Amino acid sequence: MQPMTCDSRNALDAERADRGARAFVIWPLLVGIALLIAACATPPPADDPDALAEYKATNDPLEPMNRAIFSFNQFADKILLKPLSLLYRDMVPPEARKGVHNMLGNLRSPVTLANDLLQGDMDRASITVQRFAVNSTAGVGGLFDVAASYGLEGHREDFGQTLAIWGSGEGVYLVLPILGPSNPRDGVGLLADGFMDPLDYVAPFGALAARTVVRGVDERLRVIDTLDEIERTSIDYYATLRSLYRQRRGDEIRNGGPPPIIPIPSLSFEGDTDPDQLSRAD
Amino acid sequence: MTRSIVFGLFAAFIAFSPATAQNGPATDPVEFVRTLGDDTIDVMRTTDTKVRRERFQVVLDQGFAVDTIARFVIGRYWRAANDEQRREYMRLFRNFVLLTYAARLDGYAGQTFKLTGSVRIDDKDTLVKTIIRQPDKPPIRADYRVRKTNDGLKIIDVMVEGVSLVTTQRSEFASIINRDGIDGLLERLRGYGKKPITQNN
Repeated sequence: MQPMTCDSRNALDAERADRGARAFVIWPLLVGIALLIAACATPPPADDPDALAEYKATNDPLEPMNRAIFSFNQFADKILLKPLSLLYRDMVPPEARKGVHNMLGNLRSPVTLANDLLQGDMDRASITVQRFAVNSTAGVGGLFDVAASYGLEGHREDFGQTLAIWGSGEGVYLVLPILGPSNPRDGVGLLADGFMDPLDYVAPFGALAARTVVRGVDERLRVIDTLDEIERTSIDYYATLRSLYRQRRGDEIRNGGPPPIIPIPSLSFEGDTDPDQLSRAD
Repeated sequence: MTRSIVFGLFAAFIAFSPATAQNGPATDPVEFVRTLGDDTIDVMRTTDTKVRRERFQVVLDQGFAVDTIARFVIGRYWRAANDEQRREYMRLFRNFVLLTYAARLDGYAGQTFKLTGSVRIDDKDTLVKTIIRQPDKPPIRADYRVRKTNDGLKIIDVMVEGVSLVTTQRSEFASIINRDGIDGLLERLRGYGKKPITQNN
């Protein structure tokens, strides 16, 4: 999930190189904001409390814009990311792919550790340190996940989760170009994670770019069957992913702890009574 | 004296004999999920597609409160629907679930499941936790929300890695109804019934 850092760095360089370009940055930005406001979904009238509650729970006032970016992402995925992942699957043997995946995970350890610590989770921080030590040495630079066989299972933390632990709400639903489902909290988290990654300061740009590409391909391939299945069984893929993203993030923030229990009324055959008027599921 | 001890033991034995020994439906949610899971794997192992899908229908009806789920998933829009739309919706939803999961169960690939515990939610509902293991893939957490109904124990929700199926489905349906109305939802459900059969065989 590095591209954001790279993009912003590029933007900074460009700005320094040509101050005149500012006008060309600010102007489209303003137009973009204007379009954004124009593209807002219309909230339901205030005299319909159910509809209003649902609108708030869905929390997607930018839906028209989000759907447009979503379509673009699907297109980019179809012509680039997915074929690249399939190529990777067909060209590289499973053992090697597993090694690459382990290595990427090991390289992420500092970011996870920083967030473990920021969340005050000393137990998980200790696991992250031990895993990094074992896998970087006995695991040949992270190629093999030796630590897992000692009962030190891996986990992932990011600054979006840390912000949530600190009490930040998620904000409105956002679909980011290329990066996909997100929200202001997780978007900020993504940027912050880039700053926490020591490799971002020491590794040459080419290596970081390569890592970003490999990570994108690796992550895409890991969800390829799941996403195909969800797309096939959805009748509104966008809405399904919106709900899935929220719930998955909730689960990650709780570290797999007990999920919120939504009230599900038993079906009564009494016609018009509506026992679940008050139940809300996003 | 001896007689009463024997009688007491006998009574205790009857009281504590496992539900399955009574030859009726399971009353313990964990046992219920275990049986259902075994049945499901059995269905997946059935080689004949037609037989497999028929058997799956039976498992679905025995295991899931499909009508309660259907009703929850459409939420507040139920009130806005007329009788005809309601009837068609209930029928289409059942078909939707069948098609979605029947395709998913085609082909057994060595999955096993392990019960990892249960949490009581309230006097009717229990969350039964399982882990599904599959070769060469990371294990999946799947929690089943089991409810005591007049019809015996039934599953009313499945939470996979913290994602509730009914919540997701409800959110999806609400989005469609908001954009295209109830008829729009029915239309898509009708279309769905035609799509996957040709796609997956």
